[in-house]
Amino acid sequence: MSPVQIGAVAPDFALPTLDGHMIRLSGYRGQRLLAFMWASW
Amino acid sequence: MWQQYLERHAGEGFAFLSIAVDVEPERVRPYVQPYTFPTVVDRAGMLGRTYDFDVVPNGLVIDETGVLRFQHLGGFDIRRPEIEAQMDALLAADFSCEPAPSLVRQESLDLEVLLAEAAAEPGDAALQLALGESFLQQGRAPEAEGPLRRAAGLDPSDWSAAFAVGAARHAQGAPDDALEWWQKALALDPANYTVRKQIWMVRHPEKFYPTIDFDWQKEQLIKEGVT
Repeated sequence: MSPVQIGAVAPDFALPTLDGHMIRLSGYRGQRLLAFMWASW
Repeated sequence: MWQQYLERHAGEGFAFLSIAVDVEPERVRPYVQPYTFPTVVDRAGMLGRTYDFDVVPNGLVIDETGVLRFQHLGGFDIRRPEIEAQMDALLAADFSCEPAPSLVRQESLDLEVLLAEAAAEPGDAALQLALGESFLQQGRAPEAEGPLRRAAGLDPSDWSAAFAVGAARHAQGAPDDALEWWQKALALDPANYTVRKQIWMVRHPEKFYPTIDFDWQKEQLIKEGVT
């Protein structure tokens, strides 16, 4: 598998909020996005 | 931490997305309600596969054209002054250079498209995996299971397919099955700390909630031959 490159398009994803609303990364086009990935464990 | 950081930088025009990695989305709820920013949950290990990480917490900065300009994998904590300074700089930076060609294969995120493509190419493991992950992220675990098992069968060396099958089994109330699949995933990628910790969390929730027992984790790493 190829790792994601800095300077390349970030892989798109579709993930749900807890109320089932799907959010896509590509929905943020036009804005700078800071994404924070974490776990409760 | 993040709520305060965002309030300090309100009006600067960037967006913030909190992404929790967890096979049990309800674990995330206490961390969602107090905040104004959105939180999504990856219950299939999908981002670990597509963004190639095996630890959390991580930070990404993606520019206005969708280009990844920064990632910090593991130990990404906004309370650290050097990280806060780095975020300040990245949010103000000018990213006007051309993007590099992407090496990551991007599958469709539309279920209808994935269903059609997977039906047309039943031997394509990546399509079966993307289809299964999509069902699973939408809370449709029973429909996820078939494609995910096919993906794992087509590529038995893929830790992320094995992990996703486990996540689908767990979502359907079969934790013993899930653990068996996750052990397979860990055997395929022994350095994968997100898989290892997810196994621990499901097997020993009392070591994580209401507080995390870090001493127990250190002992487990020794027991499991990792350190």
